[in-house]
Amino acid sequence: MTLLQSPHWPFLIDVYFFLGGLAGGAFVIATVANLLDSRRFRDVVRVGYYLALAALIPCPIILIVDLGVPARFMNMVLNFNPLSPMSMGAWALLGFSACAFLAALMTLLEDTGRAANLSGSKVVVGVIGGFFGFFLAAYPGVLLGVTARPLWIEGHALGALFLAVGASSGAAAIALFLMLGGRRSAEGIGAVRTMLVLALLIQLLSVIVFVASVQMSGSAASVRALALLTSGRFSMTFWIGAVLVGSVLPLVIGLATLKRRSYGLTALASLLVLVGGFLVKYVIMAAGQV
Amino acid sequence: MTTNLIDVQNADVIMATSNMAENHPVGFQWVMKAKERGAKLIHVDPRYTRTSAAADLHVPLRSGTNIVFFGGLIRYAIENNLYFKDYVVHYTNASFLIDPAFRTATDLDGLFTGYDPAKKSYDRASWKYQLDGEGNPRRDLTLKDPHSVFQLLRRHYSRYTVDMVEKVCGIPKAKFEEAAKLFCGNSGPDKTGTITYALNLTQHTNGVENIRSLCMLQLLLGNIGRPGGGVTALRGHANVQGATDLELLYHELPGYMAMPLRDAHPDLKTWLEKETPKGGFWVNKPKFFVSLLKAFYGDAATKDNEYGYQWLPKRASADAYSHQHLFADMYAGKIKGFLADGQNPAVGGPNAKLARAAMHKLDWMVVVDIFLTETAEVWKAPGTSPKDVKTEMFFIPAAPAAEKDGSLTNTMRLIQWHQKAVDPPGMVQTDAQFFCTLAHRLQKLYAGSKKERDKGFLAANFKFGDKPDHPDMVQVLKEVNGFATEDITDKDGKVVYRKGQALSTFVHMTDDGKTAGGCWIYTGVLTETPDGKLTNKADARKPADDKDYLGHGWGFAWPANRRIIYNRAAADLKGQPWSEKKKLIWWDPKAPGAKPEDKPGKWVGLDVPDFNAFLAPDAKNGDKPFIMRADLVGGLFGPLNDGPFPEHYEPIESPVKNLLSKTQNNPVAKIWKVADQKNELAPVGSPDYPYVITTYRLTEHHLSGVMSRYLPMLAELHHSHFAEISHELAKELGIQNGEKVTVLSPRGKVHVTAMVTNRFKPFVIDGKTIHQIGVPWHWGWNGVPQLPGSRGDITNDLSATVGDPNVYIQETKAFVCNVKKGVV
Amino acid sequence: MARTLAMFTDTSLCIGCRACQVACKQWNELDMEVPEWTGSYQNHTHFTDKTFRLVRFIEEPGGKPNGDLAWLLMSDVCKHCADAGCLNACPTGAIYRTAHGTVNINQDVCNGCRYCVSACPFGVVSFNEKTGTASKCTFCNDRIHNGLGPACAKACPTESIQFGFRDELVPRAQKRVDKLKAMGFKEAQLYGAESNGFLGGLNAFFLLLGKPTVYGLPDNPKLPQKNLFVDSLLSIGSALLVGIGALVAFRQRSGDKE
Repeated sequence: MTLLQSPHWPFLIDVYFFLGGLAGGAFVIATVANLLDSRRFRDVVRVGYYLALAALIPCPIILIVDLGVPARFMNMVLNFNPLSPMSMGAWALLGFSACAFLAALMTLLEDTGRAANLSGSKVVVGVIGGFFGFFLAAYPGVLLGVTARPLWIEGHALGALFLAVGASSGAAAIALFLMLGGRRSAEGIGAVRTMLVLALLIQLLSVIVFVASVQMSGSAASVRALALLTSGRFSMTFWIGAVLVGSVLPLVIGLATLKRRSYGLTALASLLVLVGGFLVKYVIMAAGQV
Repeated sequence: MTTNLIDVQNADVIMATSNMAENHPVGFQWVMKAKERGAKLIHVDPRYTRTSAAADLHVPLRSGTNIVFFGGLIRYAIENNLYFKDYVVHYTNASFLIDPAFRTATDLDGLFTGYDPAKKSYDRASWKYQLDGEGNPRRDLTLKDPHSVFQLLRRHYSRYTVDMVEKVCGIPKAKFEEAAKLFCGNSGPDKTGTITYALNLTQHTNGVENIRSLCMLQLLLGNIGRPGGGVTALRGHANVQGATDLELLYHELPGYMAMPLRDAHPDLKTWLEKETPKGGFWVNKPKFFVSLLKAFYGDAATKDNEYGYQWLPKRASADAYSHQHLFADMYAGKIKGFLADGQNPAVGGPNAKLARAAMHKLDWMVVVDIFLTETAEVWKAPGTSPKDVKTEMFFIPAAPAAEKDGSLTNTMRLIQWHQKAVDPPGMVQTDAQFFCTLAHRLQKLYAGSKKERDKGFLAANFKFGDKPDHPDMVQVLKEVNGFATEDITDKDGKVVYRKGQALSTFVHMTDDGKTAGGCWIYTGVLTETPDGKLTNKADARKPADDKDYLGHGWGFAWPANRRIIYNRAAADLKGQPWSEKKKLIWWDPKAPGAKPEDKPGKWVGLDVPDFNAFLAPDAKNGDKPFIMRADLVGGLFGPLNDGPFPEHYEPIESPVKNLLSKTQNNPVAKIWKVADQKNELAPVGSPDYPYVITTYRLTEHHLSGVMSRYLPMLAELHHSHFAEISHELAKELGIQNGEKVTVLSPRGKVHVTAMVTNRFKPFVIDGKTIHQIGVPWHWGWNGVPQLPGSRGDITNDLSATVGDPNVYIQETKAFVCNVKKGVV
Repeated sequence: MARTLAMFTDTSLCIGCRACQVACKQWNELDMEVPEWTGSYQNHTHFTDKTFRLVRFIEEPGGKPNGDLAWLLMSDVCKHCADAGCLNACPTGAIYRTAHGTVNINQDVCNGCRYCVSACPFGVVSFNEKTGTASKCTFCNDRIHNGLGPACAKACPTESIQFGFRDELVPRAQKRVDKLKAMGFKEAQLYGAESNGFLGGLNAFFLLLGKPTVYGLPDNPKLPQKNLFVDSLLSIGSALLVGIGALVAFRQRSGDKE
């Protein structure tokens, strides 16, 4: 018998978590690329910053639409509550939005030839935005961890996991767009691939920490909630969708293509990561709200 | 109710036989208080209810076997010497000798002397005391004479052994003995216990004897009239006590006086002779009766016209006019019109299907109620085509309590006034308005009548206050209270009451027409100064405190604001408290007498003495507490239509044979024969109806649901109409918790949700498993539209038209049924 | 800060009449709701935006001191925790603590994010679809500011619900536990009375006749915000790894021309 109530956050919130993470991940990757070699990784930086803004745009809309009283969205940023990841997340979203907008704008100015090289300013915006980007990717996980929901309260690694998923999906999205844009030989696609593999490793590690943490929490309700994920009605989505297809398989492909490059396989791996990254967040949200 | 709910806190043990926590939750606070003070609570009920949840001991018994249980306790108390001997010898008729011809049911296989099988009634010739030369009852204070009430009682209950209790009631021996030890063991000078009952005991074909048996147990244990003792009679709703006192009944007039019978009471003189006993306080009945007639007919009631006695309607028979009689007669076409004021017999009465069919046969019907009840819409009951109902229907919307001034008399005889909070909406009328305006219009119609019989109605007063159509309820209360019809002076010529002044006590009533009073027991509820200033004591609100724990400053308890009646029994023969712990009133020999010239001495204490306050304990009858009885003592031997001692008979419908005697049913019970198979009864042990069923109420609903099913906040508290079923029976029938089931009786069927619960357990009766189910009866086809579960089938479609031989109350607490999975 | 007000619900005195539940509904003008089948008298299964007071009915075979069936009756309500998960979670500041120590939701500020709903360890805070805001018991804020006490406590016929100052109620409750233990209720215990206990103590605390879990209450409810540190730390770790990973990936490539 559980007395707890579910917030009943809808599917759209899963989309927001995914897009926010992807935006943050893409932004961070673009920033690192810009930092290390803005010229060589110009395409990575361009795609990364454009993607970050594009993925970000639906986010506030989703959040506002989901509110009970959408007109009071501003109340989130009229208040500052460091104990509330949601409050912090709202501020991070605001900060990130500004940075993502500026970074994309600067990139656009460069692309349209209205400005010459803005990489210096981009570093400043990128570092500040990168911080917010990380925050945006991670905070939903921490937000879930700071609830009374049995699956989440004992997880501890959800923030870490969500951040890693943000990084992997950001990398995967950049890789896909680079290839879609016909820039298969572009500088940096290999680096993005390496990034993808590393992010997937962190992602898998976080999943293991999460599952182990809940399993060993000693809370019967939490263990019961976890069973929904590991052996209950969400187990197929979790094991096959999120873990096997979404993480392990692309990891294997990624590792294999580190040496023997194959754009086809890279594209496949990227697609799988995107699907898998979404499923991870979806399944944790769904199982946690039962 | 002999006691007062506040006083329940003083009990050492409380035996709840009803579901008090659920049906009297406010009164139950005093049970909880007693428990906090260390008292034990025993709950004797077929069902495990919210009362059982609070109890120290729950004793489940098969419905309809209460007399066996109480009889078992009576026997246990006697055989184990646990009765309160001094009390029993002196304050009850235990020592009185009965006519030697009298035989108990032990001797006559379940019958008493004088049974006439053809008439199905008793000749009570031998049910009387032996008298000495002066006409006083003969007594044996040693209680040893075989004809003494005590020895007869003992003989009568000799069959009610612990084994018999186990076999008939299904109470395991150890459990019964635990309860018996606990209850009977808390008796004596410094211990008392109380017993609560409600409809659980009354709604049986031996309902009155059920109650008598617990009263007898309380007398044996010396619990009547003492703090923490008494009979805690719990009324079925907020004003049943008031309705009974004012006698909205077929057989009595206000203040518990017989409604005249056509043949037995042809005139006032005969009525007074037959109805006035030779001893006890009722010797004053003529004063109360004449005052009542004066209240009815005013100046038109004079000595010459028997104070209007002949204008009173007379009963053609004692076996007529009860609720069940009415609907049987209505169905038989003997009754043409019907006014249902605040009652919903389409749902609430026994054999409701018959009641609805009966109402369909009327010429006209008026329903006065606060919602459009099933009775008001009886013409469109499910399965009824309105075209087939010829009854012309009228509905009068009524005002509930909050929309009117008035009083309610609660279960502890406490009259409490309430003020109107808001005006009724639109043309909605209060009951008083409705009846007064109706009477005014009828009086206008009859105005020219020269007929003798109409004179009384034309003379009757229906005007209270200045506005005829808006009766002033305080003036109504004043008429009920009583007043002087002319100036009354004492022997020195001093005016005691000026004309019209309210009486301060019923002691001042007279039988010469100088006083009027609508209900003598209420006298004193209103006082009036000579200059006309009224004080309504029902409106008094001084809460109980340490000095006055019974709260005499809160409302007014009839009679005379006494909170515990027969309280002379709280003192011993010498007038001293039985113990310091249980003191209530006592004789103070030093207190000043009634008048300065009298000898000193007075009854004083924590309550108003229910006794002549100046009658010394050593004076004649100064040691006889039961002043309302002609013999002045508690009646262990008390003749009723079905016998002087309660005897167990099985309910009319029962799965088992009577193990106590060959007399299966109450031999004088009333069983109505109704045409068209409208009152079919299952034979004993019928395989078609193998289960015992009991019907009851829930805290969340009120009676037939009129005040709850229409209110969303209350109606939502129960998911839907349900039947409570044990896991054992559910398993046998393959029923899951929450599944729809059909409950059937020979009269009808209902579809309900099965609530499978640990709180019901099958009984082992004489070695055989007997299942019992429970179905609440609040549901009807109306309710809150948005709450489908607020509507449901009518449980009373299952119950039968059978009645107790004394008051014709229905047997809805114990009959038989079948249960089938699904909707059949 | 004024003296802390508290509600002591003594389940040993509860008779399950649900007067509290109805009084709450009436005073707070809460709408009806279609009940679900709970298998017993209880309705509804949990708190909702329309039910702030909820009487729970729990059949516990063998739960009485004499080994008989116990029917545990408990009138449940918002605990007004001293460390309140909902209050900490609120991103808008709509949830606030009053001078009396109670926790309320400002209906004019709440924007309906439902984070508090998920953060309540007792499932009290409920989302109201109609107003779009979170709602819960306020101890009848309007009544207590007019010296009336909460409607539920007022309606309770057996004083199972007592309202008053916390520092007076706790010792009274402790005495009651001692008494019940002496009467044979071995499992009688207070839940949430200790201010150095879980959640800093509950301003609506309970006397239970069995283990908290029997009533569906968590044994040792945890303040969700206690996770903030560890979860953030792990997130930072993850961020560092990702950051280092990115640096490694792009540094490696910047030296390794394709």
